[in-house]
Amino acid sequence: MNKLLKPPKWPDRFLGWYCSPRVREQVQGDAHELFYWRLEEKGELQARRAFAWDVIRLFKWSNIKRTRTQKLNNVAMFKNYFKIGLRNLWKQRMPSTINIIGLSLAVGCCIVAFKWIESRFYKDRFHENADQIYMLTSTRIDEGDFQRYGVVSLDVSKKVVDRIPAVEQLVRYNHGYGRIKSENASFGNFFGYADPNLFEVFTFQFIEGDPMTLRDPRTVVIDEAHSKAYYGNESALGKIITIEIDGQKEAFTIGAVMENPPDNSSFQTGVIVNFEHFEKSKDPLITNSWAFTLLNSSSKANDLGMSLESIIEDKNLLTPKSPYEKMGLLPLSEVATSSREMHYGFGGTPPMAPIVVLSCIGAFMLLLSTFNYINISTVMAMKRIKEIGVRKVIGGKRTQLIVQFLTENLLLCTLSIFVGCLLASTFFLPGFNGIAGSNLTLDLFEHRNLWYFLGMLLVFITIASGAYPALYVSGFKPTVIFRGDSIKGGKRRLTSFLLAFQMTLAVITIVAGVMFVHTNSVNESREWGYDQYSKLVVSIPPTLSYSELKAEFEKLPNVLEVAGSRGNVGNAYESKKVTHLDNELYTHVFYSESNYAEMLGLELTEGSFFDKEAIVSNQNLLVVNETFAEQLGIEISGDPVVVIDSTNFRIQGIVKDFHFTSFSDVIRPAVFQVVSDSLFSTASVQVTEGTVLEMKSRLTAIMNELDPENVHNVFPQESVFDAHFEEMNGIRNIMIFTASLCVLLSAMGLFGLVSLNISARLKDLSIRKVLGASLSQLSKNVYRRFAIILVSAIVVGGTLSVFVIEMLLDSVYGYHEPINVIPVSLAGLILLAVAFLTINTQIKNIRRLNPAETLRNE
Amino acid sequence: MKGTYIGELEELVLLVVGVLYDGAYGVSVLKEILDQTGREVNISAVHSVMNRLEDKGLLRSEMGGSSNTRGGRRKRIYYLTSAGKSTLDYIRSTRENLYSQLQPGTSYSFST
Repeated sequence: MNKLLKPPKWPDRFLGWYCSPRVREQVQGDAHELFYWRLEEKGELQARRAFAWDVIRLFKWSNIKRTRTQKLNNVAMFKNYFKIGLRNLWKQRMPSTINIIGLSLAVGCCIVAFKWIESRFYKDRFHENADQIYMLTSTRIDEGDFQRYGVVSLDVSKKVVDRIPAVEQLVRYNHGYGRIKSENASFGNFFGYADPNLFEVFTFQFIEGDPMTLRDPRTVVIDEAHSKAYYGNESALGKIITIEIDGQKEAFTIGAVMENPPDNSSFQTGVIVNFEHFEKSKDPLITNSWAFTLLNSSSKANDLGMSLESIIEDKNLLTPKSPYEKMGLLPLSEVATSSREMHYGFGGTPPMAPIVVLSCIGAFMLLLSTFNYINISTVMAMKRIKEIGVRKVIGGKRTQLIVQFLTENLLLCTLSIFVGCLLASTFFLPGFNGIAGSNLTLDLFEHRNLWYFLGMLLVFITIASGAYPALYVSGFKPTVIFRGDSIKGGKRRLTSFLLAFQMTLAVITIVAGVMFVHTNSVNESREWGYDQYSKLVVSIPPTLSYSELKAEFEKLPNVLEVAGSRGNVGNAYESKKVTHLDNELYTHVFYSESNYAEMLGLELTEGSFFDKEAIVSNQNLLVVNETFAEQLGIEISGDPVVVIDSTNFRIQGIVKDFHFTSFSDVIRPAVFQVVSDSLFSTASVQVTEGTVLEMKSRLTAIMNELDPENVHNVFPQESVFDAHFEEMNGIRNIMIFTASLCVLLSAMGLFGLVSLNISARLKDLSIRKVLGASLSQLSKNVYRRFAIILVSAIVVGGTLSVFVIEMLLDSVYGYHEPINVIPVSLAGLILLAVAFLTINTQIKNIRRLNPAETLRNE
Repeated sequence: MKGTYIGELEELVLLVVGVLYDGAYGVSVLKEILDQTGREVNISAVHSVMNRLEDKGLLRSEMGGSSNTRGGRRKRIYYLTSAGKSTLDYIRSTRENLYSQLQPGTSYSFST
């Protein structure tokens, strides 16, 4: 046979390649045979064509597929596994319930943590055009370093949209500050200036009205929260609100009401006016704003480099003093997360501390419940050891057993995730929203990331909790299983270790809970260092002068004294650099009237307060706190001179330390300086004891009379830390919640273990009971085993908590008492009591045990 | 007897496999059909029909000898199983039974 008479090479190779090895021989052989037959009958050309055609016709799935699957069999097997799994769950109801409850509690916590963290990190992606929106950034040189800015000048942003065809739209945005009010209510101080196409480029949901009315500069768009605050449930459309812009009151018609911006939006402003109000009378070359560009769908941000270069050149010619080095386009999805890396970044960078705390709590809970699970399901599986032995003897492979256990596990974990979602949506999320002031909801059906998260969680808990029991139990040799039951009492070192670990965590969290409760209650009754009672603070509107007000107030009965200041103690944060000889430090400065310090009821340690009569002679004097004196190393007797803003001051008096910032901070240096009346923004009024509430309404009435235009704010001095206390109580509640959950989980774990332990030794106990053992003798064994674990956990946990919780307290509180024996032993006692009660519910079963019933079958 | 309902080509192949007795494989079946009926069937169709019949239990197969033209590759030889034989019998008897009931002359009256 010469070379020409072979079948065509390429079709033949193709045939050999695609044919499954199973049928390759017969198929290829047939094709070849046909080829030679045709070669004789019909000639070479025909034969070659027919061969190629055959090869194409033979290219079908039955010839290609490599494996013979036994699908029906597999399905039946898994169906069986699920059925057995369900029966097992039902048969061992109590431990299964414990597992499911524990896991679902942990899943609930994890969902809350995930939702919160996700809403902080995964921002601004809900806009339909999110992929095409970029923020313009500029890079300038600041003190020799490159510094990226989130803003560009108005001139530059105009050039960007004019000159670059890829930029379809450009939205400029800036924050504004000024009082906003309707006819009868005042709400909010913040608003935003934006180009009207904001609502075309970004996706916001509207309740009523047309967002495009913002094109009219006399129109405003507000959100639901503002609408509710101004008009309750009435429609706000067409109503008028006034906004104070640069000190000018301007009236706006409400053109549209949008839904509250979602938590994961960087735009959190609820009142938006036309950008014109910001732009007017400002120099576009030096005025900056944020600018968001919408690129057309075919362009990429990288392609715009050249066009931006030419804009930078123009800009640097116009303003050579502050040149741009570079310009860039930042994708909208990165705007929030990188806002801290640049000057004037947009939106908030996620705060790290709560994220760490939340993920720690979630992880702790997951860890605890996984441990519970491992412990309980190992013991549960030990009860099925005979089944495993039988399956192994008739030829079951170990991998099959592992798959079976994991399948059963999957069933239980799916159930827990389901219950966890229910828990999260009904209890955890609403509770957390109350504490954190967020509005998270479980929107299972539209939240894809949540699905990914739940899927990952399911895989994780299935494997993390199921792998050990499956491996351990499937590892026994059938001979060992059937020889005797010596394995039942086997050392369960891991079980003891995991239980001890759980108990340790529980101790730590209880100590944390106790310390937070204690510190909060101590702080709430802590002396503030001044007399905060019977004082009212009035903010002075720009329309009124302090001296007028003082005169008015002093006419009232029950008003003992009036003092002016720029911001009252507890609310003012003005910081200045002070130098004394070589020392320097930053101090809070309270610019106030000469009688303010004394009226606060501060306690002098040295020197005297300001002279109330002589304003001029007070000008270069300071009253300072002890910390100030201590840190600068000065004493009154030395008549020291300190320098603030290159003015020399002498010290008139030193007062005892007082809390002018919240209890989260330590007391820092502070000084009182006397300034002229015109600078005051608040008036503090000392009233007769017990008349605070009455005087509050009197003062409000007077303020409304004097200045009916504005809404006035009169509040007691003692309320300045209310927000702080509320926040601290929130943290405390989270800690208490964590601690109780920890205790609950470890108690459930203990409960499961004890009950399984007792039921495994039922016969042993029955025989001993028959022979006359008393209850205490019977239960001694049970107690002893768990007591050792418990006590060592308390010792280790107590020691650890001193370090860990001390760190936590340091970061949250400015002052706290050290962790001593009391909270640790309290934690130990609580845990011991819980453990004792838990074990006792099972000891009860021993007492009720009727030996006749358990031994009847022998 | 679900397996007895077989298609026309299946029936043909089944018959040919029976005729060839122990020399029935892809190419020989194809050639036999061509010789006996003049019908040209693609080898791919022959293969799938024989696989289908094997799945239905009417044929069984085993690997047979090789030949030079096959490049030393073995053939898969198909045999009629008893189920296959009884299916053929059943089909034939049904056909004959039905055929015998035809009225003589029926087939010649074309006019309606």
